Amino acid sequence: MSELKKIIFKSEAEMPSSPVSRAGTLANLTGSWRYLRPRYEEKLSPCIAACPAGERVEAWLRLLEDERYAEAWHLIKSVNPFPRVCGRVCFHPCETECNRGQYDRPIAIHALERFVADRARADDKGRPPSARKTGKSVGIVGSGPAGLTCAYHLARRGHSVTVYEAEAELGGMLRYGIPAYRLPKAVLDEEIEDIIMLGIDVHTNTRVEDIESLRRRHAAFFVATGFGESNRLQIPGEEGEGVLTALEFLRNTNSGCSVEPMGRVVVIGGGNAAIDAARTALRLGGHPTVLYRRSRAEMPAYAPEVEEAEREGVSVHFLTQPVEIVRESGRVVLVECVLNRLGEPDATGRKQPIAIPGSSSLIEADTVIIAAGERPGEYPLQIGSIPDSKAEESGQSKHGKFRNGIFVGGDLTEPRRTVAHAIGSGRRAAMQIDKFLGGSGEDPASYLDGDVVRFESLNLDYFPHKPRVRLPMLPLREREKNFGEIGLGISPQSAAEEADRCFHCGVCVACDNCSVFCPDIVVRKSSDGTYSIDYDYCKGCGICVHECPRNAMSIDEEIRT
Amino acid sequence: MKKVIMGNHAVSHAVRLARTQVVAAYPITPQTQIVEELSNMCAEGKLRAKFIKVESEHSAMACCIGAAAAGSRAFTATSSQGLALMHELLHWAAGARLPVVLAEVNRALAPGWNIWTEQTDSLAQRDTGWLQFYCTSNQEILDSILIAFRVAEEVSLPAMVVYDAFYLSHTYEAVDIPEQEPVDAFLPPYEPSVKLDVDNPMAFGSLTTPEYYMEMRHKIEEATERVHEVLPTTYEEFGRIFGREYKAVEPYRCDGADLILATSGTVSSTAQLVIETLRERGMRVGGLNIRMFRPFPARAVREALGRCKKVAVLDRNISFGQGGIFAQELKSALCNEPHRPQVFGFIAGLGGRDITPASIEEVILTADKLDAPEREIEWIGLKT
Amino acid sequence: MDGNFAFSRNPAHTGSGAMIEIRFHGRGGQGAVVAAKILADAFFREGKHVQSFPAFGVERRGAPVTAFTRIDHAPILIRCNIYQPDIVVVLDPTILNETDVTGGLKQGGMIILNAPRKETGIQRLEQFLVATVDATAIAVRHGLGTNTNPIVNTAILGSFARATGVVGIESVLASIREGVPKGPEENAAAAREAYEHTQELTTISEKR
Repeated sequence: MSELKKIIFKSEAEMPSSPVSRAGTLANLTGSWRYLRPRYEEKLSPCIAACPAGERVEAWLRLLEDERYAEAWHLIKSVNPFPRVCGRVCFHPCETECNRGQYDRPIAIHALERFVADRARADDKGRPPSARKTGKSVGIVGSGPAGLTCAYHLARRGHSVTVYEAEAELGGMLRYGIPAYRLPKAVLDEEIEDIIMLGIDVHTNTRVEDIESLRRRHAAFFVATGFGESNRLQIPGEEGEGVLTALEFLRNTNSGCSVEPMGRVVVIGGGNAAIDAARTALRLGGHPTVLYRRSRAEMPAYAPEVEEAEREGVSVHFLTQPVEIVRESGRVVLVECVLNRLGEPDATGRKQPIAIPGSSSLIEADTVIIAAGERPGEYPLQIGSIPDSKAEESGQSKHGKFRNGIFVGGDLTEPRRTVAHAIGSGRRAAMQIDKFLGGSGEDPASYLDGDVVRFESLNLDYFPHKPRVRLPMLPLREREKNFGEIGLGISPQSAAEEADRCFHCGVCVACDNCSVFCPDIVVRKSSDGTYSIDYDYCKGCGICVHECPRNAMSIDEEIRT
Repeated sequence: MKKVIMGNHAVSHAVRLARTQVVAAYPITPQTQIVEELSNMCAEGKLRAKFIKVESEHSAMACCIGAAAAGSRAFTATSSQGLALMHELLHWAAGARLPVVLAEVNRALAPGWNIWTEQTDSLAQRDTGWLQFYCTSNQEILDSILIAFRVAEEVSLPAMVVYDAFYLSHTYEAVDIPEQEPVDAFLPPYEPSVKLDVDNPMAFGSLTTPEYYMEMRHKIEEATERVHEVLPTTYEEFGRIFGREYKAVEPYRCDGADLILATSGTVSSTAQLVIETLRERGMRVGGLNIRMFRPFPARAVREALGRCKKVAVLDRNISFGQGGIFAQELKSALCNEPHRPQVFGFIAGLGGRDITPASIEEVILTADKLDAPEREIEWIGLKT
Repeated sequence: MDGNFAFSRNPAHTGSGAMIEIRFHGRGGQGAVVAAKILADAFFREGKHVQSFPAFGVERRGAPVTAFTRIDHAPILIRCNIYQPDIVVVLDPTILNETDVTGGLKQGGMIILNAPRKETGIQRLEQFLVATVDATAIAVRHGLGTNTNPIVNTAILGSFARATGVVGIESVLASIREGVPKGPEENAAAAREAYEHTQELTTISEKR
């Protein structure tokens, strides 16, 4: 680079005939004019930030777009051992946060996850990566999504893992809480099998009574025993035959225990367990009615599931609160209710139900299923996983608590009790344990830090409107009296088209816009598809940043010394 | 070889003979056949030029500027609205000192929509820094293109060869189309001292501050003035090689004339007939064909008109509010003369209205019978 | 040069004096403009100064078209339309009903008319010399254009050479061969046939 030399003409005769710089322009470092400095800065897609399991959604969508199915599957699996499960049962907060939702409709991420995982499973069972054995052993109490995810990650890092499960089969709530029409048992079995294949020692029908007694076997423990106990309504008639909790009911159905003839079923509660119980009762030939004490807007159950339940024939009574279960000769015959109105919001932000005096009504019932929420119960305390009796403290840490190598996670610590949250909890706990055992503890989802791309920061000129993929579902008449899966999956073509709708918020996809629009031709593309800016000549106009469709660039004030 | 060809094709042959390297143009009536024929010549291999199809006249001139900056001999052609659209880049070509040659077929500007001849389109570009030559025959068109390239390249300024729509553009007459060899002798390859070169990058047309801009303008003016020296010797050399004589200003039977009719373009041709007839009738009348408009040949005009009493200027153009443009230029050339003639300005033939021998005679007789102009502009043939 | 026709017997037309101005009337697509140019070229071959141009305007197929040719022994300086032609060439007989083809035609001037048969319209032309030829039939016979839209311009030029006697048929044929976009021999043959079948209307001749 030659030095910029100021040329001074003393007379017209010295001047050229037209303004031509014979020295060339490279000496003129126009970058010195710059007040703003553009740079490549990838940001966090909202789908990734929103994924409780920590999946790098945008990235595997891009692989899917290119039909690189195996790579997409491996990328998901690097974080989440349950993509087939999640593709079916996760309530996909990723889609709620998807920026495309503010443009037309969000990407159908859950359907694509299911597509990738089902297809990969069909193509290739996937050989587990062989890690060097560390010689360290970890005991995991509870085989729900948190426990199995933790086991999966620890095993992949070479630790010996033993899983203790009180029930006869692995899976926890995935197996005993979720009905088969949402999650077929074969799908669950196959994903669990993939985890166990990593060399995990399994002890089913084994209820751990005291962690300290296992100290000699394991250097660390992960306790994820979930919320095993159900709340009761505390109303007359609740005790006795004909009344059971949603957990009991679903567990009986899912473990194949015989269920009594259903008749008129009254389900009390507004959560997902209530809806699952009602729809299960329907499939067993019952006539379910759901009673919820607030209105539809306050209902904690996932709205599309509620709508599906109603389409199938479940009737839902809102602002209806049972006050007594009336029995005749011990048999349940009626549920007496009062009607509520909604008052001021309570501490949870939901409007308080207030009984309307004299509004009593009676609903005929043969069976009552109580779905009034769950709690951890005394079990985690009893086995010594929590140092004191203040159970609520367990909810304060996202990363699990540990004392002398005892880590706690899953529903016991997560603010929201969903499958995806449990998976995320299991992964984070595994990293803590790995570090505790002398490993790196490096999180495969380390990308989760970063600024989330807001819808307003995208350049929508580059995105044509395109309809969201239609998700085929089992026709209503084919759902009667069977537990066949309702969601039917999508074709490879639909999957590719749907993945193609992704904005790739905050992520460079090498679209060349920055390079094409740069008026100074200072954006260079290297052979690996990444770009660089020649700051010697970049004037800082910011066009590259503006024309980046997906906000993968930033611009800052130039700092000069 | 002499052939009967249309005026537009005379241009095409000249561009071919000049071994033009880049042609970029957008079609517009009445210029279209120039470019059609050049396109044929390129397709048939008779002209080894890069033929660039463009989406507008603005782009056509931009291409020529780029081509000339890279050291190519560049040509374009247009008319009327097309020339108006080029306006910005006409300035650029001159400021960048690029010897682009443009064939401009005079056509009236819209509205009203009109495809017929009028000089206002080219004369409106008088301050862009382009040399301008107006033609009276198809032969002169061909010769002027060759001369324009030669002079333009010599002084590093662009040049416009201008002629009437239809009266020349679509009119067939015999034209002597020279052989390649004498043209090559007359017009050597274009070799600029500075040119755009990817292996040796340079900045062209860069920022020029008040400290230097004025000197750059002065240089353009000096180069333009140099045409007065370069053109006569070029005409002389052309005459030696091709046997046809030209001058920037051509007097016709001006000896002892009391009244001289100044014209340009094809009107100069018809005017000779009228002057001949009137001379036969004993009238002391002469004619002056102004071939070069920029730079304006003020000295030659003063020499030709210095001794007559009256000058009638017939303008097929108008600058609203100040009359015919040639009349203005003539007045301006004469105003400091101690014995200056009366100048009578006439407007005729706008938008292609025919200028017949009778209308030219009317101009001369009107000027003859008045002692001094009664008004700035006399309109000829106006429906009243 | 054929001396049988009245126009060529007039020394004003064949001597070295005046300019000859010719006007062509046709319809867009019949080739009137090309005919005017080919005729100029033929005269040019014989050492004349020539000028040929269309009536300047916007042309459409089927619309009346006018074209001009000037011939002189001296360089042609005049550059305006022709208002008083010496000869008028009419390529399409039906145009007589729309256009005053004799407008400005000099006394004793000549009209060369493509007339498949005797037309009543010809009566209006009686103060001029009129030569006719069935150029349409000839053009069809030689496959020029289509049966419904025959291109008659070259046939009428053969007739022009015969009727006026001011240009040689060989010059005309040479210019036709070089000047038509396609079918040089067919066009030349049509011109020659027209040359041989041109008739001077006897009624007119008798009147004179």
